[in-house]
Amino acid sequence: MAERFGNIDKFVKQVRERLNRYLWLDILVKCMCAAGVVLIIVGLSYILRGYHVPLFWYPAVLFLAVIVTSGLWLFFRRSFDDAAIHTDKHFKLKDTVCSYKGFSNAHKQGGIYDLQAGHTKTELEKVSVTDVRYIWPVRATGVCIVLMFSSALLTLKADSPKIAQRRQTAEQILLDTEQINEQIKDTLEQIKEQAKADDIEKLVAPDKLQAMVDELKKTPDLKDAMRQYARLEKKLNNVLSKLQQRKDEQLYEKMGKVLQKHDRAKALGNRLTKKQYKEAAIELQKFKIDKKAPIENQRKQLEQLKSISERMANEARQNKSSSNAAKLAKSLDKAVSNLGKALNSSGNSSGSQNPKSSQQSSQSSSSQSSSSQGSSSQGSSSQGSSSQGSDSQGSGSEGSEGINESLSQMAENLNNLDAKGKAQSAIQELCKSLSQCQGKLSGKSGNGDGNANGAGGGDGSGQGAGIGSGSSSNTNANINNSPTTGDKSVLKGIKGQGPSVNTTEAASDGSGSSSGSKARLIKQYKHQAESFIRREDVSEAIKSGVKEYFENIHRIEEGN
Amino acid sequence: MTNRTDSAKKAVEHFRTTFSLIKHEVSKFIVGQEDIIEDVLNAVACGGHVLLEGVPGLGKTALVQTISKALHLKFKRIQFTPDLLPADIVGSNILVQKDNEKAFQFEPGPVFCNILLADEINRATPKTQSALLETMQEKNVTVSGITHTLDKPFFVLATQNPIEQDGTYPLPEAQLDRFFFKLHVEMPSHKEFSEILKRTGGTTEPQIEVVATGDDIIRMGHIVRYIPIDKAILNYLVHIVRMTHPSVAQAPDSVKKYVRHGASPRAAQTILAAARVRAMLAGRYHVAAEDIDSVAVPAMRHRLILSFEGQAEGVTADELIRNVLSSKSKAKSA
Repeated sequence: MAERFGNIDKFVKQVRERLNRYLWLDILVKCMCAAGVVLIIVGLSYILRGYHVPLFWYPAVLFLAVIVTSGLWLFFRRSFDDAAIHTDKHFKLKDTVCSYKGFSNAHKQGGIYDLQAGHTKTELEKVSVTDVRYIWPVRATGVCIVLMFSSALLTLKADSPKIAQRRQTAEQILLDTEQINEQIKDTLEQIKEQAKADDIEKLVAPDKLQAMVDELKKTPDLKDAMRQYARLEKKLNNVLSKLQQRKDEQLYEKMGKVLQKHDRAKALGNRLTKKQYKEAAIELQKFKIDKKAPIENQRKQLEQLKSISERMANEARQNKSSSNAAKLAKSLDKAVSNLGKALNSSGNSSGSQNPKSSQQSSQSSSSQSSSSQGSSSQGSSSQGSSSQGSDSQGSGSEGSEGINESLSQMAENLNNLDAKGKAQSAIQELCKSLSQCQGKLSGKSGNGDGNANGAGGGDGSGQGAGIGSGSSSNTNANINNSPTTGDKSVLKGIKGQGPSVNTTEAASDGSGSSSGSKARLIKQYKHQAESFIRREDVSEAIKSGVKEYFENIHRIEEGN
Repeated sequence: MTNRTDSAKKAVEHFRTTFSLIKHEVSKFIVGQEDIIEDVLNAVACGGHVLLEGVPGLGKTALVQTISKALHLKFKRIQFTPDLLPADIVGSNILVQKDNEKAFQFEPGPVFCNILLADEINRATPKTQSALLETMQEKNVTVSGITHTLDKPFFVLATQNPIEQDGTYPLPEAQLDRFFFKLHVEMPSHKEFSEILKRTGGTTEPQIEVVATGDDIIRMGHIVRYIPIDKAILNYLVHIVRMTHPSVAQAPDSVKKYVRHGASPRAAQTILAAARVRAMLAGRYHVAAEDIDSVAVPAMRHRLILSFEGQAEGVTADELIRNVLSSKSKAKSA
């Protein structure tokens, strides 16, 4: 049956092919209409926001339309049975082909079924498959063309001036961030070289710094950029805080001042006052006991050391801000008493015996001094040795060696202090570079101008007067001071973003003159105030005070 | 072509020829009413009974008489009246003298024929109407416990007057369901009217020739069953019949509102048989949906029982069936 009436299947197959072709075209036209609508919506969404419509949307949407068309076609394409139904309907064959298909599928043949198939074949021979024509959807095509043309027109609209400017700014920021990152990397390279030269690599940890700097990325978003620099700055501040030795420095400075009054230790005092710890260490070496010197001289040296120790102990006692000072005072007190004992024993004994004990006493005093630099355990061991010295009276050469060793240790501590200072200044150099970059970036963002830095009254805390308000010159000045003063508020002010109490307070009572326009300044202050009252660590009372202040200003302006 | 195919073709050709000969012969006397003639012959070919409804004088009885003449079949007529008894139809046992003995002997009633004209069937009482139930369905008559088989073929062609309702007894549903078709005999057109007068107003009447026998009719009934129907078309038929039931979800709102009971499975059997005849007459060897549509109304109109609301609003079964067909064809085309 299949062979004899194969023409029927062939006919239906041809009808099916035609139907599927027409279906594809039909779906394509509709999808193109939909694509046109989508393109118009996309175009309008860009234009209403002031942007130029990117051209990539057109090939993308059209490609998607073709894909969707194919997908829908695959889903809705006509089956053989559909084609049979269509054939019957189109040629008014009264279910002839459908019935044939049904009987054929059920493998019913012979007798009446053959007659039915023959009838179907005869009927189909009377018609032509070309009669199944595609009726082009003129209206849908017209709509499609109109939509596409309209969407194409939307592409002619350029960016609005505001958007163009914003885009330019973003590009500039991208470029700036790239430059800044390079600059920071260069600075880091310099720091690394410097650290290598100064042998402070352990303290500076350049690899850690490099990892921090490597996290920096170029970005067109100012906020992102500022955020990443702020993050880096915070990390650097953490590193700096670990290297913090301000209290020790202050203590040494005060001791230096005390020592300046002493003729013998004046040079040492000067070095300590000027924070020249390396030089101070060299000076300290000069206090070593010369074993070959006459006993009288050694005694003299011991007396001088006692006198110096007493003064230092007094100073340390007065300085209660540092916990190290208290320890130092205590250990110095003991050293003084030991030195006194040593001197007494040297005075009572004959000239050949006494220097040993005095040397031992001075050794204990020196060891106490050195312990004050950070090693309390050492101090306690020195005490032990000094008490032993008073009882057993060890040999003189051993005592002087001990004092000298302690002096060397103290000198080493001073050297460490000096290295820490250098490491600190190296990292601060990086901070400074970072701040400069931030200042440069925020200055370019157009949110502030360098003249507003006067609001800080020059104390460093005023550096953060609003976003991007920090001037590079003022920042530099403070940064230059910071290694010596160690004032944390200065570091905060460098950020130039204003999220610090110091910044805002300085801004509120700023007295600096501004060459910028009044409107810009007000805007800037407003911005500052807003960022301030958003902060969580600021109490509600202060927030409301600031808010009230600006509301009053606003009210006065409105009144005028 | 195989022998089977050849014989099938011959059988179908025989059907078509016989049908057209009978139709032609009946049309000699009956003017117009082509559809009515065709539907009556359709029912006859399928072995079904027909209920003809129309006002008096439209030629209902004449149609039946003409068919009986053309088929050379035994024809009897019963004029149904209120006082007609079942025994008057089916026959009764009477006491007869036979070989000096008195015995009961079955005297067959007028139902023992090939074509029974039940004229004005709704004038008989329900009891008498019910006497036809067994006759129409089983084609048997049971009297005094003895079943008598009727001759084959056997058809009841009943008539009823839709206007004159006084003194009539509407046919019970069970009886109605046994009719293959219920046909409405319409008023002839002006041209047909003139032709009727021409044919019957003269001195001679058209002579009706015998063109088929009872065997031919029986054979036609067998051939009808050979016509195949595709599964999809069969589903369509079932859907249509089911949609006349208000309980079916897909039924049109009008059916849900105005129909109390829909068509029975016997209606589906009727439609299928009649559609097969239609298909053959159209020169096809398969049943098309169009065949089903064309016979759906006469096959189901007497099987739909309208609700009180439907009766009150004067809704006809024909309208409801057409609603069903149109809703179904819409769904099909969609």
